[in-house]
Amino acid sequence: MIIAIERRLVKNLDLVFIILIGSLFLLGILNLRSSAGESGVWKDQLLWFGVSLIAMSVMMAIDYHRFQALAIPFYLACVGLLGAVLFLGPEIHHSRSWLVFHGFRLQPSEPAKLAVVMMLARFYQKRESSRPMGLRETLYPLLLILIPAGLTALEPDLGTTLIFLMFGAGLLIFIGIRWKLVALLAILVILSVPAGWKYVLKPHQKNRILTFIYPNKDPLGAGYNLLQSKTAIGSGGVFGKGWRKGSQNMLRYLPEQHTDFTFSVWAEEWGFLLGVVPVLLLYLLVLIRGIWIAAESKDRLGVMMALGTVMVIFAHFIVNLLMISGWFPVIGVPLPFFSYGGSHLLVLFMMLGLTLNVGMRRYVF
Amino acid sequence: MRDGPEKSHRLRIIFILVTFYLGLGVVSLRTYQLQVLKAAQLKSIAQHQYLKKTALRYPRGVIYDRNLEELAVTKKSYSLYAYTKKVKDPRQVSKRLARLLEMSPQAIEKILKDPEPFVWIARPVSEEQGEAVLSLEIPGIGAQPDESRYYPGGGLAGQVLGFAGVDCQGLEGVEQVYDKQLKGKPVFLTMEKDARDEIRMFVDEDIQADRPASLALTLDQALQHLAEQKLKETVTKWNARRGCLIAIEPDSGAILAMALYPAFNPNYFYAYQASDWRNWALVDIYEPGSTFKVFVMASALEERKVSLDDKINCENGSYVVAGDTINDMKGYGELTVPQVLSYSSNIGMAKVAEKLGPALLYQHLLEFGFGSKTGIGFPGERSGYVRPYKKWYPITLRTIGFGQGVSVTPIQMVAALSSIANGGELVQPYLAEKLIYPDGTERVLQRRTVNARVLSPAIAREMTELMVGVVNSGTGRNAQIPGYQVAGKTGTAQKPRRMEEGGGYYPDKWVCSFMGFAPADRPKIAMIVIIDEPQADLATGGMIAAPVFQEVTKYALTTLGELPEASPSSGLKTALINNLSNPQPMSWENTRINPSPEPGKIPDLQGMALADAMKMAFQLGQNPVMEGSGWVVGQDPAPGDPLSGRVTLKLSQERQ
Repeated sequence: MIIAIERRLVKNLDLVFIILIGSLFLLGILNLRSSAGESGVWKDQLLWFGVSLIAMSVMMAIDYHRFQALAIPFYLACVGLLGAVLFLGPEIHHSRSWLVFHGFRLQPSEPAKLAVVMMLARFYQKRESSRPMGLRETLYPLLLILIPAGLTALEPDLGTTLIFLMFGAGLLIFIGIRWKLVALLAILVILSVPAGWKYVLKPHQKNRILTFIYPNKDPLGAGYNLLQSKTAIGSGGVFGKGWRKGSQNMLRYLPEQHTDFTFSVWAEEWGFLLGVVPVLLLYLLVLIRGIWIAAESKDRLGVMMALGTVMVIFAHFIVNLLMISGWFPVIGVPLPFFSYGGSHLLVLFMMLGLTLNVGMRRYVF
Repeated sequence: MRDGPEKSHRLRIIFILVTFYLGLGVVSLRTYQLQVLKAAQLKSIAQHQYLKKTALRYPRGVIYDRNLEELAVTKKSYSLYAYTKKVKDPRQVSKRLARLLEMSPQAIEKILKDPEPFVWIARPVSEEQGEAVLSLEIPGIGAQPDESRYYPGGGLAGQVLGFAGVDCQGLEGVEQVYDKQLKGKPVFLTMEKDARDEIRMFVDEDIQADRPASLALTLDQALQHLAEQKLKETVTKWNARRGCLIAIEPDSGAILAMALYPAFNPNYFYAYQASDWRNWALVDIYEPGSTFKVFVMASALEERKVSLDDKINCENGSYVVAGDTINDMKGYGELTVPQVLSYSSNIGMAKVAEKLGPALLYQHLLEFGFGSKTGIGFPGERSGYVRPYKKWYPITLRTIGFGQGVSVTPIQMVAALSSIANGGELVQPYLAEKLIYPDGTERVLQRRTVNARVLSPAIAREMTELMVGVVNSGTGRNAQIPGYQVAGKTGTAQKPRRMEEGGGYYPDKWVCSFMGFAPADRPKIAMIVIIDEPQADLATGGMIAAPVFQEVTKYALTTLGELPEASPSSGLKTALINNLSNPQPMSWENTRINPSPEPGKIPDLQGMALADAMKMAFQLGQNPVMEGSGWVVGQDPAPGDPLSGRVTLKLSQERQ
């Protein structure tokens, strides 16, 4: 395997994309400095960022076509870990999502997202046809998505399951499925909801969903997080309360304030105009630039890899923001660039590296 | 590879872009809704949650006498309670508790068998008793730290002070009148409270402004004590119903002593009837009798209707006016004006009143303050009654001349007496001198206030001479003090019968009184002594009340020396005033000075006021957590333990 980054490739490096994601990450660190209090978590995040940069460089250096072959063992390893975590993972907050060895914690569902993107890209690359897929042809890519989705549902980590389903469905539709099949799958999903409610969901999960539907029913119990989050966002107002001056944050009313609810702190301290709008714009630019890279890509593999990255980010973004603002059940989905979490950050930057990889090799034939 | 991105990608990418725009649009809409449209509402929810207002009450202010001797203080105490269901053997427990308390085992047992789950056994009990009970560690029995009002003098000036109730709220007397100032406004501390109920910071630290003030009265503790002592002796000796003494500084109107017997001990206010704690020197009216002659005579002199050389025919002791007969105890013929007063001739005074006439007499009596409240500022003060002169019968004019047919209060008599002593000015009597704030500043509540000029100085002097005559050679000889000229007047009044008992006067019930002042040329103290219903044949004011006056006045003039001077020059008083940089008497108020804590060790915060303890904790970087309210009675970690970043303050009152 030759790892060589030619000057030509460096010249084609997408600096705009790098600046955009770098800005988002820096704002995230700034926010973490406030939301994680005196715990020093922001330093951990910087450490993880260092690791992530190395991983990203590796992901950029290797020609992305080589990942076609690597995708299968990587996918299998991820599925294996997702299986292992069900038995070996310690139960934290009612679910087994983490593998712990020697104090080092890994969330296998995170690399699994990358693995699914790679496998779908590989599938699309190999597919010759441009016609929409029928049922038989859809089964294989669908299975690629449903296996990790199902395993995370067993942990149970419904937030991650939802992410798999969202970006998976997005990519499948992009590949092209017959509309009848889309309708059929949609009906199946809808029908599975009552069954899932009855047989799959644990009481605390049902509680989260009930809380979403009736947010004021139990303000000190399950509804507490959401109430505090909405209060934090809303009390920030137009201009915010100032960095490290958010009362909901600094006085620890806001739960999970450096992980799932970290953006509530941002909204509280920087307000709508100075905080939320600029960050939403940055996200939009990152997404558009990612799509642009996909569109400029020279082959189906590249298109799928870049689009996959963008869709994973978008799925997290939309679920997290609607969740913290009360328009979606609280199901524990992190916000890319803002939430604290090593595995998440690492995989995020690997995927961004992959996207940059696609971008800089767009003229290489 | 193939030739670039496929055409079909274009449409799908637009579709994805649209989806992203929509998603971002929804998110923007939602945050706009929360941060712009609902911002005000959510801000108020946030503040409601993290801003905590706590009412801090500092211990009730002290009541001092004029020399800053403590008359009423606030001290630590305990309230004993029981969770009745948890007390296993009430009989046994009652016996153990009774050994420590001033209660019978039976009384305690009865309380413990109360069906209520929570009962108070006793409140307040002393600090020692409370701690002793706590040390027994009896299940179900507890003691809650509290504050209670304590009157170090026992019954000293009891009716004047009144009392403060179980919750230290003023209910009677001075305690009630100055309740607001003594209590202070509760200080509302605004604090930021975090989700774990820990206080992070004071938002509003302005906690000095509303501390309770201490109150300095005009009373002199020593004089008050002697007055009460002498009253008690006299009332007991003559088996009288009750007695009253008011001493006043005639120049200023400051009341030096206001003694009543039977006394009232506010420490046990609950053991008394309401009538016992009434300050009847202000509240009860009586018919003054002969002491009143002074004011009639002064009015006549002022109007030049009589002069000192005039002779008055005293009709040998029996004078018939319009069908009514006026009698003297002893018949006199012609008496000079001074003699009329010295011998206290009723007939002589009736004729003086005749000379003055009803209109002028009535006008002068009102000027002296009779018929209206003195304005001393106590609830329930009575105004007495002088019937408008147009409704007088012919006899009324004469009887008023010797003090019958009017009703007055003792305080009115003393106020009017002051005007003769001080050269003719009616001064406002007052009891409360100043408020002293914790920072040492003072607010004078009252100083010399002249309500009216009622006599010319010359007439006041003449009147004084007449009253000196009464003491030197008349009915008031018992009031003589060697080395001093004393002016005075006796009073021996039959008590009027109630209307339903047929009116007229009791033949055997007397009010014996004496009023006077000294030294006559430069009066420092004026006083009235009233002994109600002494059981003695031929009881007179001169015999029964004048000796009390004599002893108390002598003490005031000789022992207290420059007593009535407003600004003391003695070293002792200066020292007392210097101590007033913090007038709170108890160490557990903010006076407490903790030795600067060892570095790295937590200081003793116990006994400090909450605000001070919290401030100190903050200064040391310790996060204080409050349990309850009031003052600090416990802390965790204990004093001397290493700093841990957090300290729990246990407070004297349960959280409400």
